[in-house]
Amino acid sequence: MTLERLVILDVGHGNCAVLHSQGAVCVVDAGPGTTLLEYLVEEGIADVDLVLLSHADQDHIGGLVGLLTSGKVNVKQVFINSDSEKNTKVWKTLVAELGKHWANGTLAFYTSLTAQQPSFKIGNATIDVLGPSPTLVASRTTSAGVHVTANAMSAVLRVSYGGSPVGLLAADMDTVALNDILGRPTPPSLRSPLVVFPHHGGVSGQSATQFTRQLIGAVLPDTIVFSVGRGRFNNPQPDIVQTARSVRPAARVACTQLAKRCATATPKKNPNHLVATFANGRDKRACCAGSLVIELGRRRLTVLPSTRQHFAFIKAHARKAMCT
Amino acid sequence: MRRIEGTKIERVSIIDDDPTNRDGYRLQVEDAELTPVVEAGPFWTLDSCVSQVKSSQAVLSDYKLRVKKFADFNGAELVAALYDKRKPAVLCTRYESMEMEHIRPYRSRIPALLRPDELDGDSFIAALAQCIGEFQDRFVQARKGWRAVIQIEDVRTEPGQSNTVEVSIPSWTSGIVVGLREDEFPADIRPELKEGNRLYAKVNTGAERIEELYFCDWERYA
Repeated sequence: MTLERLVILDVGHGNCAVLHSQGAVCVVDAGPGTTLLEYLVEEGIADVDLVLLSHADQDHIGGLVGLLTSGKVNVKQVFINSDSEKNTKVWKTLVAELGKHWANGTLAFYTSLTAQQPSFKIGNATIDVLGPSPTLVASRTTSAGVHVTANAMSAVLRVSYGGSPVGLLAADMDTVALNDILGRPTPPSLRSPLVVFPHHGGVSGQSATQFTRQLIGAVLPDTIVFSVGRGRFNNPQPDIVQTARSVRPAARVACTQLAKRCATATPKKNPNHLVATFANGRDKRACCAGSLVIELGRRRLTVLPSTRQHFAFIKAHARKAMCT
Repeated sequence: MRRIEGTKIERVSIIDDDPTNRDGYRLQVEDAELTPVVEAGPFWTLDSCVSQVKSSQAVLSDYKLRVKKFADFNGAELVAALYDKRKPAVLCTRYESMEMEHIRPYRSRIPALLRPDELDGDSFIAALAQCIGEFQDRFVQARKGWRAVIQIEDVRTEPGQSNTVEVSIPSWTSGIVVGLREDEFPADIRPELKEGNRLYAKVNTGAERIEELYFCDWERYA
């Protein structure tokens, strides 16, 4: 496997991506559980240069608490949009742990991650913060009177390699967040060959299909990833998958885990299409695409597992697949 | 005889005080193409039982062994003792909450716990494979222990019994509270057991079910 890579980790319901370039490591969101920690330990990575947390929800930050307390991995810098309304145990524990590491001088943490932030350089890769605007973060409501939620404040990040876009990591962005980006006098381009679809393909209804149409139309991806688990959320929503496919019929749809709507049961035997990278669903045979590896620095962007192998698995194990 | 994770297993000792259950366990072991050895009690000490199963390569034990004075210990204590001897052992229990409270202190040394309705030839072999894997330092995600922050939610006083310390694990599923007996904690940690305090402990935070959780290596939050 190439050392230059963007890994979309299967963390179940949640988000986590790890960018590797020129020996530098950047984590974008830290979904719940031990998957990120397991991955880093399995890959022999003891230092993480940068962690970007899109927003303060548990399914985006839970894994960082475990990472910081484990004593196995050093984290050098953390950026997050502060959320003073957040009163969850995991948020309070994360702030306490970040504070301890900061006080010890082992970590720097910054409580702002907006479009004002200059691009992050990670080896040959860059990460641009496309949203939210500082104006949105500073607002309680939009000009239309809509409440600005934690999801609306999700940092929307675009990863590029060698100057070309690779992936849009959209966290839990919603219509407010999308309009905040596209409504600027000179909106940044959202175009990217891969998108990790916002909010795990959750939230249904007319506004969701409109949002999907608008987002996929702006990104024009070849691969649409839904970072989902087989737990209570039952994502992705069929109308979202259907709308995304109608806007971009040739795009590959890849769920990290086998959606319950696609298959009520998991395979009886270990599948053989998965990449060797750690995945939350691996031990319990819950993976669909599992963790995805985007190999960087090649003439064509390669997303593993390959479409052919992944589709063979879907054909065999997901009778009601929404993606085919 | 079968080779499981590179280890030869032929004879499986069955430990249960109930003759009907023993018969059921015997059939499941045969279903796994292994040879059941029904061990006769009573066992007055844990050591005598561990010694009696020496000629078997694995053990299947029920949790409740004290009820009919079949043994002076429970199945969790037995499986944990066998874990220390690196003998694969599977505990069978109905997961009743009171049982779990007593099993939890031994849980780090009980790799595989099956409900009677889950036990069949395949699940028994998978459980043995998990035990042997741990002896070879290969832990599945749900069993690996990691240092984690523990939040103390409440301390309940119960007359005539050890206090129950209710804890949550923010990096796991923060909405769930686990009850631990105060006497499970090391003496130097007990003064810290107050609502709102935090501690560190090694916990298998990759587990999905509350029944799977174990806690050890307690530390002050400093």
